[in-house]
Amino acid sequence: MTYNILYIDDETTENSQAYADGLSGLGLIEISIKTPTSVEVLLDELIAEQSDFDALILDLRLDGNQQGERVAKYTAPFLAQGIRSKRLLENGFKKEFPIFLISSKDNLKKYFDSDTSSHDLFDYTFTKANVGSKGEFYEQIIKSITEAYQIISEGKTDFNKILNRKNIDEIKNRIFTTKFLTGENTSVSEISQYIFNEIIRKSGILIEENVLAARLGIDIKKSEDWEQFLTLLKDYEYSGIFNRPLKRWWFSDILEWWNNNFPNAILIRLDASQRVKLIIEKFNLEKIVVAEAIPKTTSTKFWTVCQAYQKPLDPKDGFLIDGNQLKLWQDRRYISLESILERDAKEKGFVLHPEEKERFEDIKREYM
Amino acid sequence: MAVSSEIMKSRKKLATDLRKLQAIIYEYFPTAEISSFESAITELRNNERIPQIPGIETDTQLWGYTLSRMIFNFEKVPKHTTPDNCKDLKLILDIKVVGNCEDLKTMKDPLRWLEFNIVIEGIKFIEREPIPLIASYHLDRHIHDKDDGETEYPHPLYHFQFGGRKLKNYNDSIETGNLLVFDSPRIPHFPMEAILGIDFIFSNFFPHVWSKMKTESSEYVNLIEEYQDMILKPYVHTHASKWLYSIEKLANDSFWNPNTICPQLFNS
Repeated sequence: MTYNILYIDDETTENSQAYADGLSGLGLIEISIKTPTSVEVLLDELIAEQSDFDALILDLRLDGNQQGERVAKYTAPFLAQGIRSKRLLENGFKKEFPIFLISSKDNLKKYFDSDTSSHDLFDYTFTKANVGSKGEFYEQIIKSITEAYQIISEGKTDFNKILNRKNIDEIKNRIFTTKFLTGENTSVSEISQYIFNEIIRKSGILIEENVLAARLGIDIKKSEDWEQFLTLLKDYEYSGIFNRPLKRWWFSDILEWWNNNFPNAILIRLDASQRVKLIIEKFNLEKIVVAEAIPKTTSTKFWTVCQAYQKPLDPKDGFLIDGNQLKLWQDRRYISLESILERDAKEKGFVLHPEEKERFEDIKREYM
Repeated sequence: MAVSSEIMKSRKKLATDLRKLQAIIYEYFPTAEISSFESAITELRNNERIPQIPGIETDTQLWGYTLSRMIFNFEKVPKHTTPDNCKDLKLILDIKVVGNCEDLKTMKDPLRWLEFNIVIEGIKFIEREPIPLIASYHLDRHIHDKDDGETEYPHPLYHFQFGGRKLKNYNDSIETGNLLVFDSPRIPHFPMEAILGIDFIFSNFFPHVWSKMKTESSEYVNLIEEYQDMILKPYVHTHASKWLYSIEKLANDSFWNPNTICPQLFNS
């Protein structure tokens, strides 16, 4: 199914069309363009045209162009707030739909990043400069979030269907609060954003490919048989909402698979070469290569990846990252000593957890 | 083989208590790496998983879990540590425990299997080259085999020992200097599952965290008391039954009381 997306931007038609083309190259979505006008008029227009679109893309600075008939004096969060407050009202929007934000990197930094209270108004944020290189990925994100809204709105508490997993009871009680489990006082956007931001994008219940490889001790790039090996894990791949652009595996299933195959070897206690040796022998795969440790580490009992390098790391060699409060079932995030000393972590915006500073300073002295 | 709902109820209670402990640890020890709590909790709650004991027939009444590579960083190098130039000390804890649900809250041996390994690792630098440092302790439940006969050394059922396999694995690469590594005494100790075990770790290695937890978190205090009653009490009572005594005749004063004999009994 092709989704219809309405894109609101104050730029020239040519410019907006270029972004629209970049975001719809795969043909998964169709984008039509609209220019902003006063908020009352625009909201009325959107309500009148609501059956024509499945999601909105808003440019952050809608007030950039003050020439011509249609001009706006507000930015995207103000409009998004207005749209969200008119949803599910008799004279408003009959159904919920995703709202995406698009902007230049500078404007995001200047007007949006620090305004955290506005962040949950938007389902995903794109930077205009990246549309060229990441347009296809963005398009898949737009499609999968739009699709997720539809699936969730068909049954807000039908987590078997939403996460596409038969045996969901044990997991759902761990990751959802009563509000989500009963579906009372929650919106489709709240459920969608919680699953996307907390379950899919943070490691824990689900893990991404490089964490999967790290935990199995495998170097993905050097292993020609990696894709073939992944077919053995096909059943444990996540197939619920958002699974297209973001590949994930159910970690509890992976662990069970390991324990069934290697009942006498506790995965987390083995070093990478022991893990890989067992895999190669059991599954007759030759081209699986052991992952190497990042310099200045002491162990290959990998369980996570250095967030700066995205390479395997044993948490004991890592330094905890400062950041949002994590849920109990989410994995802590680490950076390697090397990435801090080489300033790569800083460049990528990672800050050391305050409790780790003393430990870091103590080791740093030895390398000065 | 199905696990009865009664047994699952006991297992779920153990899982809930691990969940409570996990939250308390993250609150008081934010840098702790204890992600294996998740798989341990899943193990307890999954009625298709029956804990196995090597050489023993499958028994649906058993509870058990494995907690591996829990990592706790030392904030500072503790006093009396040798070598004194060691850095980045951390304690790595592995626990594997199996018990029988029917034995809980009785005077029977509370556990059927126990591996409790403490490894302390650090590094020292010689000419900018990092040299690994290691120490290890373990608490085991001795496996009595009918064909064992007399073992060379007496093994208390639950015993603490310095060294062990973890150190042996390092043997080839370890430089012992003037230190003599000896088969050290097996010191009798009460059994510990995760809750008592982590309390033991905090009290011995992270006393500042421990004193905060036991004075600020009533949830922690309640958990410890509950598990001391379940795990420690049968051990101590059975041990003490060698001699008959009456409570009235016990002399409890400020130097000689359950808390000074065993600091972990902090609420007595």
